[in-house]
Amino acid sequence: MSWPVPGSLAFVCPRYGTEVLGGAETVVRGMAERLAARGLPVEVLTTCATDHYTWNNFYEPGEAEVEGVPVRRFKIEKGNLKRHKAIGELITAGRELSLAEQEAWLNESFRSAGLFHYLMDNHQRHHTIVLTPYMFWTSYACSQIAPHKNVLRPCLHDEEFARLSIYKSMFRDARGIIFNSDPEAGLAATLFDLPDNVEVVGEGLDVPVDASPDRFRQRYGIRDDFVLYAGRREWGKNVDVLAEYFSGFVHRARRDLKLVLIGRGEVDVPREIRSRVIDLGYVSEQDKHDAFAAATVVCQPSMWESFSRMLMEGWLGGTPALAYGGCAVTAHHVKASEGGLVYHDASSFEVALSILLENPRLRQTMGANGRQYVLARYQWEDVIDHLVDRISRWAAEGPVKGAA
Amino acid sequence: MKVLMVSPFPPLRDGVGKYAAQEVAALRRDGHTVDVLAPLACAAHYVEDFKRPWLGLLRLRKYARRYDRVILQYQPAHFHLHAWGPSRALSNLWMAIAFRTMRKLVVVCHEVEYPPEGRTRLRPEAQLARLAWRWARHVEFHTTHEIDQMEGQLGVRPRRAELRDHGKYFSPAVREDKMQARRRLGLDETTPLLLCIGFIQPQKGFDRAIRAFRRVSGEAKLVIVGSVSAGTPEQRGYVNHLHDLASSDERIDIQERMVSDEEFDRWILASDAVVLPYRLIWSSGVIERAHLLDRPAIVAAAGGMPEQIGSSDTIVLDEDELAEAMAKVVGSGSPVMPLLMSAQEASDLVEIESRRRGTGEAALDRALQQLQVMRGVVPVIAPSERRVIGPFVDLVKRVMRRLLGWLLTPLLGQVNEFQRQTVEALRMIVEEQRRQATGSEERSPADGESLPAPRGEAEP
Repeated sequence: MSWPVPGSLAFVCPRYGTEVLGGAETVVRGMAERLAARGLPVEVLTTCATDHYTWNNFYEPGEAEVEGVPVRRFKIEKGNLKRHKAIGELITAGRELSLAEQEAWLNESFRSAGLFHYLMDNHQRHHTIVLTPYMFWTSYACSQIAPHKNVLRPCLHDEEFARLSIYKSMFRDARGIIFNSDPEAGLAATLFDLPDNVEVVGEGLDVPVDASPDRFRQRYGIRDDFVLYAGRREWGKNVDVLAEYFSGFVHRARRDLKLVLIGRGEVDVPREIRSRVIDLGYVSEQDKHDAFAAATVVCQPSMWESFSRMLMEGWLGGTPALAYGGCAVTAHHVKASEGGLVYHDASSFEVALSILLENPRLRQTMGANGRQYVLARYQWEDVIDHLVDRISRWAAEGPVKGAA
Repeated sequence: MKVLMVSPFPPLRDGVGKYAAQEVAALRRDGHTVDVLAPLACAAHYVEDFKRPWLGLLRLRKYARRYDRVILQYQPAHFHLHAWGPSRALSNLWMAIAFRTMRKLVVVCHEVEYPPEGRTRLRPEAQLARLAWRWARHVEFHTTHEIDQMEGQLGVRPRRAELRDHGKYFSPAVREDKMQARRRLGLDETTPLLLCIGFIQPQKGFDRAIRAFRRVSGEAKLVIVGSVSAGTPEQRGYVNHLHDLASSDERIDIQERMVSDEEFDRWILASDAVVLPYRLIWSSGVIERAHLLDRPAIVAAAGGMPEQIGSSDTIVLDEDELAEAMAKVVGSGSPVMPLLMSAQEASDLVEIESRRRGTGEAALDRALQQLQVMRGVVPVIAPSERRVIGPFVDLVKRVMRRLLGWLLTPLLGQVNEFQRQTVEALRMIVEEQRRQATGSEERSPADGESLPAPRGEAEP
């Protein structure tokens, strides 16, 4: 198989590798590996970092091959992080900033001159440059090198940063934009002038073949029903809010219910429910799939998702979802799939969780609906077919259409 | 050859940065190894804040040792904290030593700040600036006007002052013809299009283009494309002023936004002429891009612009000539309205405009808005803020302030009061005209639109 035009496709992303955690990063790896497996020339241009908190150089700079994908890593240089943070606080407070201040916010975070200059000197080798996610320095800086080759995969959230004017030309001038979900595309249309070429491609998932609830329960000694959260614990993901709502629920409902947490980061667990919260930290992929199959309910409390792999993985385990309705993307998936319920506050959380716990057949039906929803839309092979079709078509069309 | 380029660099939206990026790409194409050292955070290999008081531009020396050639893209704002004053004297001293001691240094001069007229030329910062440029071994300018101006203003001519073609390293970002560019920009294919493009700043004089274009009749379009860089009250006020000026003519379109290099070139390709009505400029990259893309330019005779024009360009001295040149592009025979410059004629224009809109209210509202802009941008004069430069300087400043305070404070108060009364008087005139136009006693200034307090003015 080959691209319709000479050259390779370059993924430009801030982190890449088997040690890197994060939904967006996992998907880039999945895409690159599957494109390479089809014999399509791809290359990943990234930094040496694995951790998006410290941005420390972890890998050696230079060329590497990761699961069959050629990867070039470049060193990270850190800016004035105090200034970056101070301007970031102004942004989250909704203050209007000048162009110079916005540029300082981006340039004083992390940056990689090596990556920029490599692409500046070698962009002729690539017919398409996929930039993802939108917010990071790698995407913003590299988007200026050859905009007519850019395909942006923004992973956009409804956040203040998305309203910065510096991002407008990155969206407007791209050759094409691929979105993870319809609500994400809708949000982008309200914030930016978009090029003609936009497509909701979604993300791909591996369908686990031998997920075992019993194996998980045995291994971790969990007998009771449990609510599962599996993902990063950071601001915006709302895991602290989940713990608080869960505390209120078990206090009033007096049920033997546990909250199982998988993933890295700190959570502020109320003292009165500490015995009910089982924090497993980082677990293997197999254990994670087993946990999704074993869970009574998978809860997605995040307010910022562009896709939500956790919901999909829960549904592949046949488990219904309980999602925060304030996030347009997760609410959309839950409504479209009929695979769960949404909540908006503590009260609706308790009502929805009660309904799910008290109705095993409803849970079963919703879990099956959700699984069917994922299988019909988000299997890797289908997503890659879709992606290859769009990338090829846009590359063959030549320069960007409707750039203004 | 190993080359060090000292310049702001992308992703900063900076004219000199873009210029340097194109030169870096060209040098690499020629087989040179080029690294970039920038005065502020960007995609440079090294970042060094040359504005710091200690060592200033002399910090360049520790990098320069590793390179065969160092090219410094010089624009004062990137290398000096202040335009004038003691800190500038210090940074000029470091610059002079750097220029004297670095043999491989080539300075590409994009701009120089000159001392104000009068005795201030004898001040240390001016003397040190003169010394720096005298000691510079190799300086490249874009026009002879800039060399002459340096000689005239500073009394110095660098020992090796050379001219370099401003557009030498430029290459087109898109390859399209006019119709393709217009289609991609969603523009009508036949309407004559005049273009002002670049950062929107008062010194760019885009207001002159609007006023001149309003006097050109016929089916045509004037598009102003660009963004505000720093977002200062002065710049915001200027943008509002442009919108205000353009509001009465539907043929004028102001697109306040950043554009990519590709879109920048696409706009030039789509235009019939690029208008550069600059008030203050050294040399222009926009005119070079217009030449590169084979589009004529209408150019105000500012700075080194007359040297940059090509055979198809038109140079203009004032708004009359600007309007005539625009009319010529729009189509021969387009009449140009008589120039309205006197106070009486300006007043008449307000009346004509008011009648045209059906009521005087809209024009008066605009006048009131303009007053608000004035009050927003004219600062209250006050003793300069204390800046700790060094214990000695700080002490001297305090002593001087004590000694002169009794004399200066009442004077500053009178100047500020005069300024306040002037704005107030203008506001009252506008209010009076509003009452006359509407024929009714409307709300008094006290209970209606109160104007925002000027920057830095304390509440009574």
